Amino acid sequence: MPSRRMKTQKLSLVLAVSLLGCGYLQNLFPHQAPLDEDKSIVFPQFFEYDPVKLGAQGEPYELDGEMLRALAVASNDFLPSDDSDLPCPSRKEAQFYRVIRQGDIIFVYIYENHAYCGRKYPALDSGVKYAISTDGRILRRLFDGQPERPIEPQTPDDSGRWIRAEPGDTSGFDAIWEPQPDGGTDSSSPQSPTAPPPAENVRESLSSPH
Amino acid sequence: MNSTKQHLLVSLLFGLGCSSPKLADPHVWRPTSGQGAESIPGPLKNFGPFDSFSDALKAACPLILSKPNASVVHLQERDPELALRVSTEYCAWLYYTPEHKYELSMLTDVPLPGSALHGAASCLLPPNVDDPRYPPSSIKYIFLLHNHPFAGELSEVDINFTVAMANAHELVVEAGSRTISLSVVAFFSNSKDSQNPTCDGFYQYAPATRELLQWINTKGDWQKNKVGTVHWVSQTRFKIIRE
Repeated sequence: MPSRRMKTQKLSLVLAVSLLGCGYLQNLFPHQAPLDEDKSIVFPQFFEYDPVKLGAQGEPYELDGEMLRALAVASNDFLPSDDSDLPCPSRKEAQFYRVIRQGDIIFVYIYENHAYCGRKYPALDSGVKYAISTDGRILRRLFDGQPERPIEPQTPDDSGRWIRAEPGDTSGFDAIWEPQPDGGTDSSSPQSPTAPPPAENVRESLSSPH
Repeated sequence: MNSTKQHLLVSLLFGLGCSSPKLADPHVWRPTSGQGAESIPGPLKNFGPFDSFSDALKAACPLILSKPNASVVHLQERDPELALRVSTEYCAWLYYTPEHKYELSMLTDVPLPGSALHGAASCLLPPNVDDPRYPPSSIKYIFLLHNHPFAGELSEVDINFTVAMANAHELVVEAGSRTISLSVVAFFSNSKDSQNPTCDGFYQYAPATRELLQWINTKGDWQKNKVGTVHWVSQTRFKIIRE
């Protein structure tokens, strides 16, 4: 019966995504604002791994109810309205939703799918992160640009970590922090990236000294 | 909430967000067409030009942070919801001209359309500068500037946008005798005095060096600290290694 099972899973996914997109879950899991945020919660990095794209290539995926509820709670908190007059970038379907589960916390990062609305680039600081408990409570919400840790105004000290320089000058750290006593090349230095850089021209520019 | 009420609420929120009577500010440019502008006008009148990008940054920091609600650190503890609602991001390009000067484009505070619904500050920076004095291809893009009203670090979206701009323009710019890495800068103030949002520093990321820097301004003495490195694993994956 694998084909029947597969069909059911596909149907479940389609139903789940449809419900999420159409906002019907808003009635099931009403909008809520965080009351007492747990500021000790540390968010994972959302771009460290390639995500498994749900719905891609027609493969079956299964989403459990807790995960679905976490997505619904986060999306309804960030974008509570499903009004058809909403500008495109503020619609639920115009976002990406990255989800990472760690123990009893489901972390969600919502950020704009600018291409969906025909835009070439995103807006600066247009995302928001949520930590949702498996029973559907918002434990923490962090908008882009908000500090993850409490702000403690820093003062440069003599620890050696600070360099006096003209503001904006990006040069100088590797020579101080990653000395190569034998004159060899540090494999992690910007001149020789160990991993593919984000763009072709990055690769070209980094491979030649400047 | 029935659909009519919901519709009215949404319309009201849009009205508040999109057409609230913001005071005209000669420094701030708001395109009438809403989203999707390809160019932002430059230069900013009565500002610059500068002989060095450092001088330009030192002047741009207090200018941007002096704009309404560019810093809400003073509100954060007292009324975090209000801080979120009023926080405003301003963004602009710092660019290099064929006359070997550094100029600032106009500022814009246009957020993502509809962001009034959730209150988060964002800024739509057009990818190009329109300086009528020069052909578009002669302008070199150095820094994309903005402010973080809550004084937080750079976001993943900031990092991705900067890489996109490095692809659209140049990763490393030859500016006269200098080689400068295109980078994103987020100014911040730690001041609890709403009338005096001091320029206390900025965060910076340059895709060419992969470094995340924090700059602190102590009465004109600028020092930088490497807070992390962005390790790109593929064109869409990156990991931030903190120091």
